[in-house]
Amino acid sequence: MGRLISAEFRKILTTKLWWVLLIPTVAVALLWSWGGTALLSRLINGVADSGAFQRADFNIAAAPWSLLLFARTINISVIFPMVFGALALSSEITRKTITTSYLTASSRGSVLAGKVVTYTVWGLLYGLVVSGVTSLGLLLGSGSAQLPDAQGWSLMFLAGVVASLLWTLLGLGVGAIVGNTVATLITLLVYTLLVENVIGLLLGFQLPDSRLPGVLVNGSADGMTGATAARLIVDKLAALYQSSNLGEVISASDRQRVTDLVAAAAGARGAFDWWASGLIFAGWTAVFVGVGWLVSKSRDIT
Amino acid sequence: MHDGSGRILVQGLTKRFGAITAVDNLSFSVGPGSVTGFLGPNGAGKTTTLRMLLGLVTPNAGSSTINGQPFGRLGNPARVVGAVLEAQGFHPGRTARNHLRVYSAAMGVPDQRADQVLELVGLGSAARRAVGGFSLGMKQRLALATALLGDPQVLVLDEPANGLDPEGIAWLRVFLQSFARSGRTVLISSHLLAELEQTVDQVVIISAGRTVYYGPLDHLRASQSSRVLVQAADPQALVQALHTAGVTGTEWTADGRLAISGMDRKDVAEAAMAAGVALYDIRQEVIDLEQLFLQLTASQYAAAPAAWQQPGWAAPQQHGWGPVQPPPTPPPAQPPSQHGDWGGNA
Repeated sequence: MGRLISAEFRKILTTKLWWVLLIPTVAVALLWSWGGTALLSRLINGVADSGAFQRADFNIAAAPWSLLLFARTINISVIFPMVFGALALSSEITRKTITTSYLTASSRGSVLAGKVVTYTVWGLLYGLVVSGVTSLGLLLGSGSAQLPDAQGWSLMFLAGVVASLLWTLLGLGVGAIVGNTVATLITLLVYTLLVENVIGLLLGFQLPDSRLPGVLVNGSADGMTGATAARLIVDKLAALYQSSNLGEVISASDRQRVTDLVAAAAGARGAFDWWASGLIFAGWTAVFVGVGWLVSKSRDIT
Repeated sequence: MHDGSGRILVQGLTKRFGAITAVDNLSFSVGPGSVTGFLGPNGAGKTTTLRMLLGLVTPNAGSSTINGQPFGRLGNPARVVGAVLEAQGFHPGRTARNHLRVYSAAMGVPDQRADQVLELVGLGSAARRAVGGFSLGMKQRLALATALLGDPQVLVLDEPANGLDPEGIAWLRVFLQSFARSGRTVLISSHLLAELEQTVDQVVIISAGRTVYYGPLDHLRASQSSRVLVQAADPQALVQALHTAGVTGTEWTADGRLAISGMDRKDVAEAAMAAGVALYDIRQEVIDLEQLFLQLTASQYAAAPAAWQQPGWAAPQQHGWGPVQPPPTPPPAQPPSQHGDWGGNA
């Protein structure tokens, strides 16, 4: 197994893809988080300056609103590690290097296992870049009052790393199932960018309270980051509310409504709690990798 | 894990792609210390058979082993069998050396081995060039280098001469023979018998997914007796004289010559002299293996006689240049040039 992991690392490091994909990852993460938080801070400060919040002594601008952009930036940036994972096996099939890879391994399962371990590491590395660059964008763009505290920051950072890791492996699994580079990329991009959004849009009209988006592939992934951000923001809002002149404690159902609203703003409508969303998405990843393993076991390499 | 015998055994392999039976109950075995040619026209099922042997394609029926084990149970297979397959892929952006280092890592051989095999196949000077800029012949050499990386005991090559220049083909021929002489096994496929004739010790000839001949090349050659072709002033008189002398193996070729079996040229010339028949031309018929190969494999597009499906078949008399069925085209008047053979004049 160690030999095949070493071979996989050499496959990656002797070609350009890993750094070619890193360029848009960094660019998108930085521009999205920087520009987004700069706009958001202006907006929030404007709202907070309005008379109603001032009179109530409810400093709405003191919540970590920048986390909304942290979540959304992760969701968009992880497309690149997903593509990186998607090409892991499918490009070997398209380029026919898979023949030699299978001829030099004890079994097809060991080739795939070597890839899973290797791309776990690469998914983590991409995740560190995504979360790190997004953090930088937040520092550059956001007003300091809307930045999260250390605990919130580390939670979101972790959510970004886990999202990148899981998306990389999910791409690997889909690539193993489809077995063709172009078809794999089209499948993944059309599904994540189009199909689920259309489902979400239709459900939004018909069943606004539906939890279905939260169990879908993209929905659970976005839910992991979005629900983390929403929880951190709502916790802070609740604290601010209690110390304000508005007095009475808000009810649990009100709180849930606000959480759902903030989650939707973070790009995760209908999402479950962050940990449940994470488990659902990890389940999807396991399903795709598992089916990919089954399909590649019996695929004829002609 | 495996018995180290260097033997390839194929038993009853069958592969269907949809309605098409690409390989039909194919059996043969290849022993160490020899070069075995695997011959058949394009589409006969050679590539599919080799890919089943190497565990890349799953057969519908039958089995195959290398060193007594199926490919999937060889453990570290690249140390046992190396393969050069058609349309084997390379990443165009990867250098030759890095390509080999990927697989030296996978099979656990030292990285210096990559440089050794590059020198061995004559790609030492191109080691640090991206494979995307390689010619077809250079890619074939790199594929061979990859196959040799694990210092395997068995070498399987699918149409390796494609794209090689004559010099490369000559080199490959010498290399494969010395590889086999060191007690190792070579199985090499081609759609041209002439290409392998100088290289191989035995052949497996398949057509339409079935074995039509399996055995030493010399037996195939011997199965077709050579005849004497004459142009005589009075051929009827010569036939008469030969019949009187007890020689009945006479027939007419398509270009009007007399073909005599069972006598050498000297005997025929003496018989003609004794009969007073003038001879304008007399020559030994050249056994054209390619012609025989074409006849053997012509069944691809027609029903094959059942007798040919058995290994070690011995029925060329029925289909050679016999009186019953003349060959579809006459044998060439000129001896076939040594075109396309593996580079030698041996």
